[in-house]
Amino acid sequence: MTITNQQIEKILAGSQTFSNLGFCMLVMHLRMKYAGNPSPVILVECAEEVRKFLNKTTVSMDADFATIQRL
Amino acid sequence: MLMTFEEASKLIMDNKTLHIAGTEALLKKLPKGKWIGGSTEYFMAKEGGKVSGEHLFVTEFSYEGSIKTYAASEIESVAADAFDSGFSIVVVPFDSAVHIKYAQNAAGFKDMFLKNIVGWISGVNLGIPGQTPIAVDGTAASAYSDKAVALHLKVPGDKTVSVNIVNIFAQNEFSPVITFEEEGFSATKCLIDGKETVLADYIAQNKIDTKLPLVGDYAGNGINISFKSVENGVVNFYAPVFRGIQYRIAKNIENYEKEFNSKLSEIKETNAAFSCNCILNFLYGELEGKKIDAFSGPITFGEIAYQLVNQTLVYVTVS
Repeated sequence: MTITNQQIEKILAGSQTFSNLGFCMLVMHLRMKYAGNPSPVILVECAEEVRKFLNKTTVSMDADFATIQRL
Repeated sequence: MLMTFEEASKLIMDNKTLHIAGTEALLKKLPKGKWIGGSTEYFMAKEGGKVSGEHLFVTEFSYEGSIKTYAASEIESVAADAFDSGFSIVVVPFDSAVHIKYAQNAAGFKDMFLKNIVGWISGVNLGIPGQTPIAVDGTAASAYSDKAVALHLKVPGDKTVSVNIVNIFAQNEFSPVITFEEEGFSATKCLIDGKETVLADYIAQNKIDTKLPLVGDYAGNGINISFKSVENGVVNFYAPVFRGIQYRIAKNIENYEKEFNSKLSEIKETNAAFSCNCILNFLYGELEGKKIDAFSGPITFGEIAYQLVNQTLVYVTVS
């Protein structure tokens, strides 16, 4: 799945909910990090972490992918 | 499964890869081998909740594994050390520096959400003084009160590993939103619907049942923080509260056993490779002698599903 920086910024600055436990915890960790310093550098770091997770995970993420695609 | 000291010893001598939960005294007498252990006398056995100083809860794994110990200064590499394909079980002694470091920082550890990390906080029999929560590295027959021990298991790449929780609690929508400006295992002040408030006063004035946890909203997943005590105006928790998380008091639970089994009926076909459940669920739910379908394992003093969670059943599946 391709995910844009714009979508990731919406995840970080938004309040969307997700299903996968690890993804939810990662999103909250990154939301707190980004809220502390909402800079382009931190956005790129957060985007890299989200992409790593989505590329790595083998568990079902269909519902969460659908949520992201709607952003 | 729950077994005797002799049965557990035989499995170790047969060179099995094992996770063992039991009393400090029994764990320290087990022979060297490919096992890790943690102290507790509380178990959810197939036949129901049980307190025993004479049995050990043993989980056997058919996967290749490695065992490593972590001091507080080393715990940040626990996920990075885990296999890319697999899962790790981490046992952390209650109230140790490594417990606090893990609880406060796990989300920021390298690769934390890229690996499958579960585990538990070891404890004691609450009615017997003088015990020490320990984690054991069976390869060296070394018991630690100040180090965590991890069993890193490698699962074939064509398998899917999944870390899950069963949380019978949900946010009470009638509770105000509670947030914290300062992170940690205790709090004096908080924001109640944005207004600075002394949390202990809020609890007393509103007759909050502190057997119910705070439930944090983690992007749609409820993560519990259990109340430990309220002393001299300070509220102590079994896990740290974090800035940026919106907490509410949990909805009341009428019947723990019924609520657990109702939740578990949705996943009754699940074959967990490992699971553990919280001592507070065991005590508050009076689960001794009561059966929680499908999931057996140690009853613990904190659970790990990536991060430290409370009043939660944690399990991992391999399919």
